[in-house]
Amino acid sequence: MRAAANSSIVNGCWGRRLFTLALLAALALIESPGHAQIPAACCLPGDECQTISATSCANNSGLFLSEIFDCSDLPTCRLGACCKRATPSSPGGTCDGYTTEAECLGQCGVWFSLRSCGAFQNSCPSLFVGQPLPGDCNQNGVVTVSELVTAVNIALCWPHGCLNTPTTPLGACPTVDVNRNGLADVHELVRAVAASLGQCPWRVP
Amino acid sequence: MKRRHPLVSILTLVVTSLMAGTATASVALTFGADVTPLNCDDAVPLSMTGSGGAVAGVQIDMLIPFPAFVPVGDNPCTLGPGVAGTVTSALTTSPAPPAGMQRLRIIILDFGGATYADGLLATCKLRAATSTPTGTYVMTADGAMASDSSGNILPATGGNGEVTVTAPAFCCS
Repeated sequence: MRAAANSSIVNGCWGRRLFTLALLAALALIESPGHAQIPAACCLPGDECQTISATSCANNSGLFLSEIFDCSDLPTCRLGACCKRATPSSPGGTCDGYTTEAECLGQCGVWFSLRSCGAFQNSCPSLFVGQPLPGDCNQNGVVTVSELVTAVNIALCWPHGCLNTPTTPLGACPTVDVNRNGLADVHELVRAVAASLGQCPWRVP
Repeated sequence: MKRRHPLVSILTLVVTSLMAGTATASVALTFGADVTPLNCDDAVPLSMTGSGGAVAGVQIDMLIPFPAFVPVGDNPCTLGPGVAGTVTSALTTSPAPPAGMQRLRIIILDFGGATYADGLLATCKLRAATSTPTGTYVMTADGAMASDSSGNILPATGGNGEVTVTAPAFCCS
């Protein structure tokens, strides 16, 4: 009885030791330079997906997706990093990795083909700094109808005035002047309208 | 001197022609013609062609002979039947009109983000002064602009209109 118990303890110890060894070996394999040779999905320029190693992927200017083991699991290779404005009123931005262009544009983001977020975590916010919404006269993150009317009045009469209408100065709504030429034109008014409707006018340079 | 292969020259010609064709495509904003008796209100139409349904806003100035004609009211323009949005107009001096003219700026867009199809966009009411000699007067288009729904500038041209002033009539229709 005691011998059987000892045997069981010995077997249990060995089992645990074997398991630990296997775990260490697996970790070593993952952390070793050889890990770069484990194939996974790689998106190559031209949106072609190949299941190759990270090294081969990098050598071919591809985007290596280590968490996707096989190209058959990849719905599309048109992936990239997406810099998104955190909120309409926030000057900052965040990055989402491995999104499609359509997904990114649908979230008012700026999309970078075949790039991961690694290179953009710090530079994403700068894409949106100093870019208030067109027509957001008081820069509170919302474009109202009254601000649109102000913008239209600027477009009508600024800078030299109107004969029968009070002149609204550009200073009343400087953000409508998207191209900063000192005037407000109809294409800038349309951007202000788009902003009022919650669309993505800041994406348009 | 290096000579081109004839095929390259032909291809270059074809590509250049295609590109030239693309570059000439633009939105045309045109003022129409009308006949009005002296001292009556005249409605000058503004129409659009070549929009492809992609135009979300237009802007154009009408240079009006002055003092032969004056706009009727502070906002003399109204949208055409079934046209969505707003039309805003005012006599602007930005930039200053040529001597003997007034500049009526017309802006049409929809705060709801609608786009416009080809056809009549608006009409603008002018009145011929009692001292205006009968005859035909040109309403000059200037500064035509069009925008798509993303706020991108579309190439646009303006077409002049004309108003023929006739002898005074008892009733103005």
